[in-house]
Amino acid sequence: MSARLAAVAPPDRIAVRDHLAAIEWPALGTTARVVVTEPHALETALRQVAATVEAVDAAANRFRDDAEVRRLQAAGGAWVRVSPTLRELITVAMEAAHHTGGLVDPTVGGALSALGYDRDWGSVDRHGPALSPAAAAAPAVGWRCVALDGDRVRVPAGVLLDLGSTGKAWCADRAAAMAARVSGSGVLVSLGGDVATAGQVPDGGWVVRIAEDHRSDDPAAPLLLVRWGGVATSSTLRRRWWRGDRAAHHIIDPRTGTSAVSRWRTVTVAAGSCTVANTMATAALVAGADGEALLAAARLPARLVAVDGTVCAVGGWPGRSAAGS
Amino acid sequence: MLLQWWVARLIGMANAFEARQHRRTAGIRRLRRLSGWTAAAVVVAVAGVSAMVGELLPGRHAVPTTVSGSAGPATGDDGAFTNGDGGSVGPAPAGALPAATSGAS
Repeated sequence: MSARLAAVAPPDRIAVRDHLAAIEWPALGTTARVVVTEPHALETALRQVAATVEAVDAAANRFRDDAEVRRLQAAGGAWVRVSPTLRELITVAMEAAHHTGGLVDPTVGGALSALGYDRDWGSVDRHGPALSPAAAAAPAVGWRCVALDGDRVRVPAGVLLDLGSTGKAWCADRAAAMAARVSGSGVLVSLGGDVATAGQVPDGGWVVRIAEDHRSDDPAAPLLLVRWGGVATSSTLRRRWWRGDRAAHHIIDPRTGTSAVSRWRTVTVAAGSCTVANTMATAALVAGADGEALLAAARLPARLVAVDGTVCAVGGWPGRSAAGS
Repeated sequence: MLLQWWVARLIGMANAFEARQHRRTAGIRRLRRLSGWTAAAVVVAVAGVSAMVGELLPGRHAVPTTVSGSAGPATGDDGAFTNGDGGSVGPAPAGALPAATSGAS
């Protein structure tokens, strides 16, 4: 056990079961988990995942003073040269916006801040005073205002990017792929419940519990077998806070600039990558009544939980094909 | 008579030898043509099978490079972002132990 591994994750967090080795540690304001099919490859995989997570955090964490995304914000609309990681994160966010018709948009950072999510989640006041009328919600400026030219990016003055809707999932995809490549092992990476897989697959596939909270260990929760690709869940139940008597959550509807009011409280999607899964889960939540049709049209296996707890499955999600509770 | 018989036999043997040689030469030409085509076909078949095996290898699509059609993952540099592929999922066997939980954070 190297000092580096011990620093990232205490040895007592390592678990070996069914020939899989797993380790968890706090990262990106949530929990990172790495599982490998070859226990001897755990340290190599962990190092790679930790490095990828750190690179993404340094590029896109809008609450970190030294983050690159903060330099964009401070540039006042000027072109800024960015790292390949941030450029890729912004590109992915813009592609997600394009392919969801703007339902998932990176320019909602200002709306999130105005609602009270303006610092690291651990420091956000869960029960703050009511928002002033001057802080009335307005639609997001929209992703088309962001310009990319090679390694330079320009964001209009006053526009705050929030890459959270795609960044964490993209990080999971990238980390899993790179860890599998360098370790030679099958790798599963979960970043706060955004699950990506790469490399060889355990017998049958990766078993993933589906829950509304990624910390759940409910033995009755449905299980999904993932042979390849990613799984992601978006929910309005987590990262909720109050401003006066008004509840807010982190899933922002770019069309209104405020927390999405949806028929669904939780949506889980499986896709060829965690990035696509997370994007489409968020898009379905924001789309509300149209979310089910959106996912069905995309032919993605998905499980939607309505506000009243009714469960609906589409796109060949195993086990349940019609709405039920 | 005997001499005639021997001459005829020698001529027959010479003709038979010539015919064998002719057949052998033609066979070799055919074989050469065939082996050329066979080698080409083998090269094409091996390339095709390699490509198919590559596509089918588990985890291949999990590498985030590019997305086209139903190829899978997202993206960045040169990739389009499509959502036409659901990965590969199925029901987990009863009693299976989960490796991770997908849920909101």
